[in-house]
Amino acid sequence: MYKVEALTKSYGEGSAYNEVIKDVNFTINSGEYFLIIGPSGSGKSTLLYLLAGLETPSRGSVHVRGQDIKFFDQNTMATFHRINIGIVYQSFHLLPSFTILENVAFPLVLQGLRTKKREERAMEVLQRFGIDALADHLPSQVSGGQQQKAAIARALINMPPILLIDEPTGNLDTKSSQEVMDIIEMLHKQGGRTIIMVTHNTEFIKYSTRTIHIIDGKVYDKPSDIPSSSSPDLETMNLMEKIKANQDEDIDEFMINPFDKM
Amino acid sequence: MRLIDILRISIKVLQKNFLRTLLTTGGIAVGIGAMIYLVTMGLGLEELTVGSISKSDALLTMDVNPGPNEIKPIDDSTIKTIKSFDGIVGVWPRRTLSAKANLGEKKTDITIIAVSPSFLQLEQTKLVSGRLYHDDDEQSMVVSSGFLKVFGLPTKSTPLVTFKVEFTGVNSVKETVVIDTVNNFSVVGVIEDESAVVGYLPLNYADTLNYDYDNYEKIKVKVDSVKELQKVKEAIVARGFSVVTVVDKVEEVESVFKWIRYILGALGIIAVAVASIGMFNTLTISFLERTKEISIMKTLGATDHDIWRFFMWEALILGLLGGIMGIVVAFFGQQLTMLIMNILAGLVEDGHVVKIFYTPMLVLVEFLVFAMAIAFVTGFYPALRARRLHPLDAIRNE
Repeated sequence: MYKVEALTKSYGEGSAYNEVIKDVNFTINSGEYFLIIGPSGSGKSTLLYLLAGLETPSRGSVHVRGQDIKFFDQNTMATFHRINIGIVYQSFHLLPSFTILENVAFPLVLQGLRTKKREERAMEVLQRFGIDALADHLPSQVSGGQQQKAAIARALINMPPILLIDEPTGNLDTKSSQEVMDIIEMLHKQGGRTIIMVTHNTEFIKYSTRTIHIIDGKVYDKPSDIPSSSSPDLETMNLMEKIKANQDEDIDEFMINPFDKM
Repeated sequence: MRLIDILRISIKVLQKNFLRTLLTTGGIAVGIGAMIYLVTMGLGLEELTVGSISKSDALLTMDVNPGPNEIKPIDDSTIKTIKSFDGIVGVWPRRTLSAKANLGEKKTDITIIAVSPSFLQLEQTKLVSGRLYHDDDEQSMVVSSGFLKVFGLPTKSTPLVTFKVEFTGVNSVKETVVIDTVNNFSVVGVIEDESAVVGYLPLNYADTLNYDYDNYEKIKVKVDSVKELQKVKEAIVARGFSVVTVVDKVEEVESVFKWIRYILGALGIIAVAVASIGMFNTLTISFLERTKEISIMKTLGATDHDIWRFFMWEALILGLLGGIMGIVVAFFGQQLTMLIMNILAGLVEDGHVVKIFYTPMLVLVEFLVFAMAIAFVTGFYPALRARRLHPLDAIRNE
């Protein structure tokens, strides 16, 4: 589904030159729950935006179903965003002057659907996530967890085959985080959707079908591949330890019941 | 994306910022209102002036005067020639005589104008009392109120007294001499003109006097349609006479009022310019406030064109609302002015209020279009910025 080749993203020139993504290569298959894990500042959000076509690669390419998205014109890219992918952000990014229902239904507005039909569909998704009672509330009137559920609902309203998720629990408390994790897990299991998530939250590793690690703009398949010279700061070290612990735990879980979380 | 949804969202944004919307449209309304007020006043004044000279018959008549330096005098043969043209309804000449009018001991010089009553009708002469004379009346005249004033007679009623009129001329040694005297001249009608001492009498009667006429002073020519007017005019001018038509006068007046309208309009434009800056400011702020929203919409699949349409419609709605409110403002301005004029007219004896505003529907439509055109121009740049905004510009910063 996704093929990323020699992908590099840099900003600035001369002394201000900064390479955020460095010669990254990987593929993501259809139906995978693909996790890109890394500490803050590692370039994981930029990588996700490159996959979403919101950033343009400086070098290399991102192919989706065989097509290099760098060559999409503005309308094709808009259609790609509307139909093929759903994006969920850490800060939810709901439209502040729209109600929860209007927010969820907004992609359908862009599709040109009639008001009644799009509201029916948005309501269905809200019911599924248990926030239909908040349909008429503004985003500022509901909790972070509820906003994130609405944001996921919005990403799903067009039933896109790919969900790109950026740190979904970053702004949530433990309980809400768990609910959001469960929802994403359900979407993967039930819909057979390709989930691509960037996070520093190692809790997600146990749900993913594959995890890669990103440190300083470079990706590594296994934590053991990460060179010790890559100047790990305290956060990175903590994260790497968590990753290791989580993977051991994961393996145990798989051995007990590998289909438990599918 | 459907237009109805774009409009709904644009209205929603405007509603959300109600006070800002109100102030912006208020600014536009004052500007447009001032322009409408001033322009309709210009139109109204023009209508008052032109209307009074361009009614019905007047449009079909022309005044023929002797050629430049009177080289080409108007005589009976001229009348005969003009009458032979196509489309001529009638030709009415005018002579001027000098005379002295006597009433008892009082005596005054008077200008006598000898014309047929049709001539006076074509000139739209208004009587304050009495009637016009008939073509075959003898020893009857219509006088100006100024004439009656000289004799100390009431100026608003037809006097029952008769005057002695001595028609005068100049003899070979340039002395003024009495040529003919008529003892019992009665007044049948009065024209309101305090400043002139004038008497009108039938041309037929004047011709019976023992007066040494040479030529006519001028003639009035009436044609049967406006279409003929220009042709006849050209034919007469070609024969060396000078011709003035009402259309000329109307055009003259119109050209003056055109300038008045321009000046009044220019004053209004200043108001509109100020309002436009306000509107530009509002739309730019609206853009800056909504960069995040625009970014989100773009990441959700809104095209640059969709975003462009959001902003342009928002601007156009502001312009339309401003235009409509401007019409209301102008209407109230007009009513207030008329009210003040009515009060002032009430203070003056016999004061009557003339309608000084003329507001054709087309002008209002033009101003609505104008308001929206301003909106389009002022909305263009903010809309362009919104259109060009990179979807991650606002999101990335968080």
